[in-house]
Amino acid sequence: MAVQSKSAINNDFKTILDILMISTGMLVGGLSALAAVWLWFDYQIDPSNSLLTLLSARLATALPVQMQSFLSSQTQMMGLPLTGRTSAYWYMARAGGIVSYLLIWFSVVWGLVLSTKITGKLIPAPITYGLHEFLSILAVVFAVLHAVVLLGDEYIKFNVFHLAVPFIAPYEPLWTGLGIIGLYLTAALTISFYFRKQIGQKTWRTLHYLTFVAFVLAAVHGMMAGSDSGLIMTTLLYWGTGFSVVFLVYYRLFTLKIKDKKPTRR
Amino acid sequence: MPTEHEPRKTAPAPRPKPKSRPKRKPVKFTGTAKVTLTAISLLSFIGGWNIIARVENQDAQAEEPANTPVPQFTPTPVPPTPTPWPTIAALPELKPIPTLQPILANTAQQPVAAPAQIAPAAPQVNIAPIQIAPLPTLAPLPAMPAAPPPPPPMPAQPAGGWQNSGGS
Repeated sequence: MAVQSKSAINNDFKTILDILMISTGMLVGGLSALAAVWLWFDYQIDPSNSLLTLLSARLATALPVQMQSFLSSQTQMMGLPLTGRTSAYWYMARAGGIVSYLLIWFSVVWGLVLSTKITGKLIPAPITYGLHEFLSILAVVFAVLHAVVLLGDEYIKFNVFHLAVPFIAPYEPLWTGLGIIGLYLTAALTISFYFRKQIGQKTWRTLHYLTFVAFVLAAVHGMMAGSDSGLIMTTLLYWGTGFSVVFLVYYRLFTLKIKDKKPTRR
Repeated sequence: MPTEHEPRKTAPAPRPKPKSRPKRKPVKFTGTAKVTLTAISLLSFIGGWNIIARVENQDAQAEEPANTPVPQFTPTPVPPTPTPWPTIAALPELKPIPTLQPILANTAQQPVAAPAQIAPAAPQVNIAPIQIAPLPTLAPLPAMPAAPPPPPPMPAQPAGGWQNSGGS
């Protein structure tokens, strides 16, 4: 009895501690978000005299002079300060799109690695699964960043509706629309990781095949709407990633056929 | 009721405890891995941003001379075209300008153009020659007075005078 009551007290204490930790985390997170928003608005009003600029300048003075000049030239080249009149938003959006595409590709590849067991015991399955899941979360985060950053660009003048509703964007409406659908699909598939038990393994697996559709949509969006698709580097990237996925899918189908042909033990 | 023939039900002998193996840590995709992956993604994002900006700048620099070529002077031959010049109305006939008759008495020694050369069509104006009275002559000047004697020499100046002050 005494042991039972002790464990109950322990559980209560744990619960209280959990609640306290969650509340503290939420408070700190909320305050950080508010501070970030305030800093952002302060920066947008007057970039040269904002707190963010002053802080970064103060930080920069701590660096060696050569590093300072290097950073200064790099930031200038990258289009900073981050205002609509510069190309910084456009560069950021493009970089975000490419990183997001690469993360989706990595996630798909790890999913195929998991199902084909191509790496054998070299990489444990839980790590491959965790990587597959986390990569898809990161891909969604960067895809959202890719879209949100476009709101700041004053050249094309996207608004929230252009980015949320497919096929109405002022820039390449068809290909942008396909990208939006791809983002929704990837987000839905990422969320489905957390409802696997509720929707059942079979349904989840069937739903998971839509990953390939999302990947193809992202690739088509990048190739057709991306302003970097004319570069050799980018063309090689799309072809290379596409080929690797096709190869792994073929390998998966091939291994499945071999398994089916094997005589079953009685 | 158990009989004698039936085997006695005894409590099963306790199994020997399996030797305690060192517990293997379950392999997991840890938080550190997640943080590392996020950091790599962010770095890739910033790196990509930098590369894109670099490529754009290079392209812009490469296109700049093509867009604004250096102005070169290439003379283009202009074919002669008949230009209709405006015709000006004919000027009215000029009236002859009256000229004075040269005074022969005063200008006898100077080279003067012949009247025929000045204006052949000029009308002759007869002006009577001017008679000038002879100039009066002045009386000669009186003789100059004798020069005064030279002044005596200056006395010697005392030392340290105002002229020799060296200043501060």
